Parts: sequence; structure tokens; C-alpha cells
Amino acid sequence: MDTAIRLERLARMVLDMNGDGVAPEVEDALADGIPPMQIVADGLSAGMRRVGEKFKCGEVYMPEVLVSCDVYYKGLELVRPRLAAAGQTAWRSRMVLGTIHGDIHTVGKDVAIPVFQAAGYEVVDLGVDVSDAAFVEAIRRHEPDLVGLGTYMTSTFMHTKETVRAIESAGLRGRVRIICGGPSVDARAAKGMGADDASDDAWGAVEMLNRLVDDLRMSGGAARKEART
Amino acid sequence: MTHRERVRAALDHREPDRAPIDLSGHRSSGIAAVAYARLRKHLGLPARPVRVYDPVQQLAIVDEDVLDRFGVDTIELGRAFALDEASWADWTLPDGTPCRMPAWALPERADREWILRSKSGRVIARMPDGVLYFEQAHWPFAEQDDPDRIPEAMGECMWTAVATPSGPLAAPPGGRNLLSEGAKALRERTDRAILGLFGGNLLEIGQFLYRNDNFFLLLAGDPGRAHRFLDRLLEIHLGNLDLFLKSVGPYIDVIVFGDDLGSQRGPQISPKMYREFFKPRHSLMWSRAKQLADVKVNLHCCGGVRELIPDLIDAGLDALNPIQTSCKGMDPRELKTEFGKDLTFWGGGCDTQAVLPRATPDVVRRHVRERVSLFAPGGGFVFQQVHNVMADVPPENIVAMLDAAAA
Repeated sequence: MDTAIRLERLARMVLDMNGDGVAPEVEDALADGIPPMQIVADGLSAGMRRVGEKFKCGEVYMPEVLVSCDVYYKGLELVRPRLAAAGQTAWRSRMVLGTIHGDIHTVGKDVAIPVFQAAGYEVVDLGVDVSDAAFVEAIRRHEPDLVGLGTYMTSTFMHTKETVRAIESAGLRGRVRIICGGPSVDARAAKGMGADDASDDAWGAVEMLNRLVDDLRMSGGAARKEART
Repeated sequence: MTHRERVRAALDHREPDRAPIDLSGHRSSGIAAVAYARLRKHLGLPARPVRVYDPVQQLAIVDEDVLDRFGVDTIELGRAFALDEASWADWTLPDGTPCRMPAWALPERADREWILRSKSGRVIARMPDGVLYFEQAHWPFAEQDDPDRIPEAMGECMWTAVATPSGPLAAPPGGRNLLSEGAKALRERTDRAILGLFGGNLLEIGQFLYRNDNFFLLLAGDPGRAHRFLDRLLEIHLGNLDLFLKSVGPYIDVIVFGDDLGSQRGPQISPKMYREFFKPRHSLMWSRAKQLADVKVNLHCCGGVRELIPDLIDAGLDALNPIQTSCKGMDPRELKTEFGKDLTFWGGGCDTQAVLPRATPDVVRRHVRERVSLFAPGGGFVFQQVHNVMADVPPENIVAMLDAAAA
């Protein structure tokens, strides 16, 4: 099958919430020899971008977005081993992202990750109720440019201060840009607590991520200077 | 006009002598205990123990002298209960003010936080130091659901397990008489419109039990299973509705249902999803309520819900609360123009995100007057601020708001 058609079919699986159809479609794409990174970027992620457009104009709502995310993840899990094997890391930048200490919500994070991946960000998912120490360890281990703090309640949003402090105490603050995400976040409050910015909208946050990464690289704070290829 | 007449006129879309005012008539028109204590002091009223009747949201019972001061036209049915000192236990508010809390829902101190436990002993809510209300800590169906065990699950969920008065005082079977007698006594001693809080939440209980993401996935990804859960839940609600209205129906004016369908950005679910899963069930509950008692149906429904309003009206809704005007699609003028003949707007009187906590009293007054002038003509409006008065609201602003509403 023509590659463009195959990739379009993958995108449609995500858009149409077709959880049963995505696995065979991914297998067929791999069998066709389409590079794994292209399956993600131009197939699955393209579907998520279209979900975002429909969400913004009110054609789909959060329940449908979450099922689409689920389909995306099902497809990604099949491709992931091939990505690692091929050593393909054509990402713009790397981010570690987790729901902050004391918070076990996943909905925002589960939507944000495919959106950020669709925009070219490699995202290391740290899970939920991530301790300050775990964030510090993740920064040391994965050397990201960005740290995403998912906070879905007002009370846990306030913990941002402690997490930023822990990163500072570890001597890592200058190497990363820290963003808060979630429905209760406020950019002014987040900056007051030491973060760099905040967003309550995954799709709207992409431009913010791009700006923060550019800012970090210009300031010379990035842990790894070479562009990833 | 009496208070009750004023509210009923508004609900019947007849413009009363002034806009009726709701303060603390239900659990989203209330006032945080910290703010209430400061308000009493600011008004120079005699010191009284602050009673926190809603531990989760930390809301205070508003005493009669404050209701009289502001010409409040509503009162919650719960005020008929827990009148004895034995129902209350000592506690301290986050700002150090002594208060009283329902003895059956007393928070427990843990490491740098307060917690609430279910009857089984599980921690179901947390209020870390520095935070002013409790948040949910356990979702009973997050890992594994069981629609045949919804009542047990509701006992392990903050929103459904931590009872406000009448609480366990009127638990069936023996409590029905207490419920009825209490309601009757309240009816006889007040001419304020009485609001009976029922709940009957559908989407929200799905979210409370499963957690938001899981319930959304169920609705969009496994509709058959979602319907099975909602059918079982509806069965429980209809049974409780029957018991509730047979006990208190003759004595209340408004029955308050709840279901937050909106968000800051608009509805959480599509109109199509609302029509499939919730509209028929809401319609059944609301029509059953009106069959059982002469009551108006008020739905507490946070967020931007403009797209759902036609279906809510079609399902039999009389009044919508809280009219969160800062949300997408909730412009007061447009709402009144489009829906004002068919729906009572119970709320929208004062923005609580920016104006009430942070503006000057003069700005608050002007804002309220503008809202009243938009919503009140022709009836179909009951004034309340958009949601509860939070702990950080200055007492001067509360006074400015309520005096402007009554002017």
C-alpha cells in the first residue's frame, strides 16, 4: 500500500477512536517497511493533531479525546521496541513529565504526552504522585530540557514550590525549564513558586514549550548541547 | 412580599419587588467558615460559635441575624437538624479560629494535613496544611468497578460519604419521621423559601467513583458498561427520591439536584453524549420529583454549559445554578435573551474568581448592580454570587455585594 495512504489510515484510527483497528494497522505499516519514527510522527501523532483541532473547535470533547489518546498509546506501544532498536531519536527536545507529589490524576498527563510527542518532544512519563526526589533523579538520569509538573488540584499545585526547591537544591535548576500543567494552574502563581510557566491546555502549551527550549539553549543551560539526530 | 413569595414569584417568571437573595441556601451559595467569622466581626454582631456544617468545603452555617441583616430569602432544609450541642464537636479553622464541626464528620490530624475517613477507616479526603478545603483521596472504582456495589462505593468516596446535617440523624428506617418532623418544624418557623438538597448526580458520581479519566473513557469507549452503571445508579436515586420527598416534600419549595456538566472552557461532554446518557435520566428524576411534591427543580451545574441548556430545559429543569459567567458561552446578557423565558437563573450575581475576592467594594457594588439589572427583569432570577464565598474574600466586599443585591 502507498505509504501516504497507510499513514492516513493510522491517523484515522486515532481520530475515529478505533482501538481494535490500530494494532493490525501498525503491524501492516511496519511490514510495509515504513520507518517506526514516521509511523509515530506522520501516522499516530498526525491523528492526535487532528483530534486537537477538533477539540479546539468543539467537535469532540474530553471523553473522545481520552479514547483517542488510548488508541494512540496502543499504537505507540507496538512501535516503541522498533524505535529503540533503530536508535531513532529525531526529537526536538526531551521532557520528563509526571503528576506532582500528592496527586494521582492522570487525565491531563495522558492527553498532554501524545500532544507533546506529536510536536516533536520525547517525553519520559514519570507516572503519578511523583516525589520531589524522583523528579531530581529523573533530571539527572534523562538530562531533559523540560520538566513538566502535572497538578490537577489546587492543593497539589501549591506543592510546585517544594518541587522547584528540590531541583534547585540539587544544583539542577539552571539546566531545565519547569512548566506546570493542569486545570487549576495559574501562570503568575506558578512563576511565583519558581516555575517558568504554566498552561491549562496541552495544545496551547506547545508554543510555550518551543519558546522555553529556545530560551534554555540560548542561555547555554541545556545539559546536552548537540542537537539530537 | 414574604421571602418565600419573592422566591416563588421569581421561579414563576413574575418579577418580584426585588431580586430574591440566596446566601447559604445550598452548598454552592455558602460562605467559607474563615470568611464568615470575619464577616460577623466586621458587622459588629455578637460573637457566636462558628458551626462548619460542610467539613469538605468548610462552609459555615449562616445565623439568622446575618440572614436578616442582608434580607436573605432562602434557607437550607439542613438547618432544621443538628440543633443540639451533642451533634457538634470542637475544632479549629485553618486560621486558628475556634469552631464547631458535625460530631459524625470530625477531621483527624495526620502528618502536615487533616484527613477524613470513611466508616471502614479508609482515608477518603485530605486537607494539607495551607489548603482551605478537603480534596478527594480515594476513587472506589478506579481499579475495578462493580455496579452492584454502588452504595458501598459511595460510602468510600468523600463527596458521598461525608454527610452534612441532617446526616446520620435522619438515616432510614427510623430517621424518616425525624426528617419529616424537622422539615415541618422549619416550615412553621420561617418564611424563607426552603431548599431541600437531594443531589441525584449522574456524571459526577461516575467521576467521583471511577475518577474523571476512567469515567470519560467508559462513556466514549464502553457505552454499554456506562449505561449499566448509570441504570443502577438511577435506580438508587429514584428510591432515595421517593423516600426524601415523601418525608419532606410538603415542606420545601425547591429541590436541588447536582451535576457539574461544564468546565471553564465549555461542556465536559458533547450535547450528543448528554442526550444519550444523561438527559433521559435527568428527565425521569425531575419529572418524578414534580409528581411527588409541589417543588421547583434546581440543578447545580458548574462551568460553561450553554450548549446543553436547550436540552436541560427540555428535560424539565426550572432553575439553573450557579451560572458561572466567567466560563465560555456564559455571557449574562446572551443567556437572559436566549433562555430567560424558560429558565430561572439561580446565580451569576457576582463573579467569584476575580471581582469578589480582589476588587474594591465600589467595583463590587457596580458589578452586582449591572448583573441584577441584566438578569432580574421579568423574574426568572435569584441572586447569588457564583459559587461559595471563599476564605480570602474581605468582609467589606461581602457586605457591598449583598447590599447592592438587595437595593
